[in-house]
Amino acid sequence: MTGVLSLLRRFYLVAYNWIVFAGWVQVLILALKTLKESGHEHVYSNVEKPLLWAQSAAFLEILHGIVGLVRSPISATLPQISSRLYLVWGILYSFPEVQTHPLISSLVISWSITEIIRYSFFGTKEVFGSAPSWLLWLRYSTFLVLYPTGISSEIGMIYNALPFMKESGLYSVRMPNKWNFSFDYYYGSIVVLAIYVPGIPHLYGYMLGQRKKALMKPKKE
Amino acid sequence: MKVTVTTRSGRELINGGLVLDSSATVADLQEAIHQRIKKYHPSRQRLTLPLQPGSKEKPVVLQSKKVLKEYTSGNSDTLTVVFKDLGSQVSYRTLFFFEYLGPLILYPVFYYFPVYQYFGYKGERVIHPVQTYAMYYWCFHYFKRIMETFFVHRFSHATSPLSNVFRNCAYYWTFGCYIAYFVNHPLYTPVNDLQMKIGFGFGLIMQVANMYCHIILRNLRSPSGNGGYQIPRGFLFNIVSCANYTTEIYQWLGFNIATQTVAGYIFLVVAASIMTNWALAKHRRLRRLFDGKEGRPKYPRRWVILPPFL
Repeated sequence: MTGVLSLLRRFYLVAYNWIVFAGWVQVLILALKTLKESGHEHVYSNVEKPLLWAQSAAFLEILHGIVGLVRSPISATLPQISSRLYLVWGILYSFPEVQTHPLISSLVISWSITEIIRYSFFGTKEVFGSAPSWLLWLRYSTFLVLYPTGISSEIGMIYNALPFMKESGLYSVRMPNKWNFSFDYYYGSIVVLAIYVPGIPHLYGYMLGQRKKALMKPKKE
Repeated sequence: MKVTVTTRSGRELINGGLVLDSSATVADLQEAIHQRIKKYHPSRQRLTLPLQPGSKEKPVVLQSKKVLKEYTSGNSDTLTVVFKDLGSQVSYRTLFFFEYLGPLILYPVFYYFPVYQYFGYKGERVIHPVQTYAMYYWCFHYFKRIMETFFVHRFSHATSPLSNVFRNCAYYWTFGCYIAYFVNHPLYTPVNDLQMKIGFGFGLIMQVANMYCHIILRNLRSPSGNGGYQIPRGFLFNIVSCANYTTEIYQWLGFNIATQTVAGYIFLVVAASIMTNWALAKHRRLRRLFDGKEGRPKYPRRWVILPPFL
């Protein structure tokens, strides 16, 4: 019985990883094509659909962790996925005024390269039981450049959207109301920016540690 | 008696070891270590008996009041202990005092001072009776906690790591301000009179019950003792292991029923989940210690913290 379940699990994870991989390939190709042919102002509108789709699918990874389908601790995946969903839905999708900004190109390219490597790494592992050493190397090395480029693009885009948050009052709750609650999306986003400050060294340090562990092990894994 | 002190990685912490009286206690050993290495105050030291390599058992922790001889095997006059530095410590009383002082002082600031003009609310503020009662209730609660810290609680450990001061104060002080901001807000909407009375009334009863629970727990431990655990009995403890946490959660529920803020309810949920984690650990520990074997009493069937759920 467990044999069948284990096979189902593998089949599902293979499908999941390679389908989302395809989504991010689409994002990267469209982004590069648009940059070449039309310019950075049009990148978002061309990548919007596959981007929203591929990034939102990552929500399933939280469920995978909770249900025990994969070993990743949700304490690591939850902040990562929340911040991506916040950027994609809470910033890019919600504020058309920022959709033509050049930082979107660097954001989307950094993310898509990272995700293409990550999903193909897991997809290959699920199919063959292990991933080739060059893919392992890519997975644990490209972050050295892509984290700085991606994170600074994220911070830049949040910052760009701030004035439009204030102006529109979007996602904000005002008092008086019977639950005596208020929430200001503008100030909430400033808090998010503040969290980046300790968050970045913590995350980067963690990845450096992971890199050491992964690349020191014999290539058999 | 010769004592060898090693670190967890195996090297000798004190070269050549220490020589102590054959009637020496663990506390004497800790003092001797401290004399040799000034930085290691006794409260930072965790001394355990060495484990067989690969052993899955939890190491035996040396208790300060006990005589060293109790830990030697047979008639041996030598003992090897493993040392772990717990880091800078602070007494539990100090920790609790500062974490409770924040809410006690910060909440009234939102009530008494014209804080809201800095948030853009100019003009007069009308204060509803419920806001005044809420301030008294809140301040009484934290005053009670401070009093209990100094006069009621008997702690299982004397100290806590220093880093907990920052973590705990951040938790209490931030939530204190978060709730105080909304309850004292110029645009605060009170609930009806009956709901307010039910909320505060229920909350006060639960605070008194909570205090009684703390007194029962205190009487389980002797004043000079070193912590330890007994089966709590009497009052609500007959039904639920951690009646003190139960009454505390209900007390906050009363406050929230009376004041009705999302911020207050968020705090209730977070506090309840933290206490539930503690309650599960305590309940398990009591069930493990009182297993009914070798003359020990068996821990009775009880709810953990919140009947009928857990």
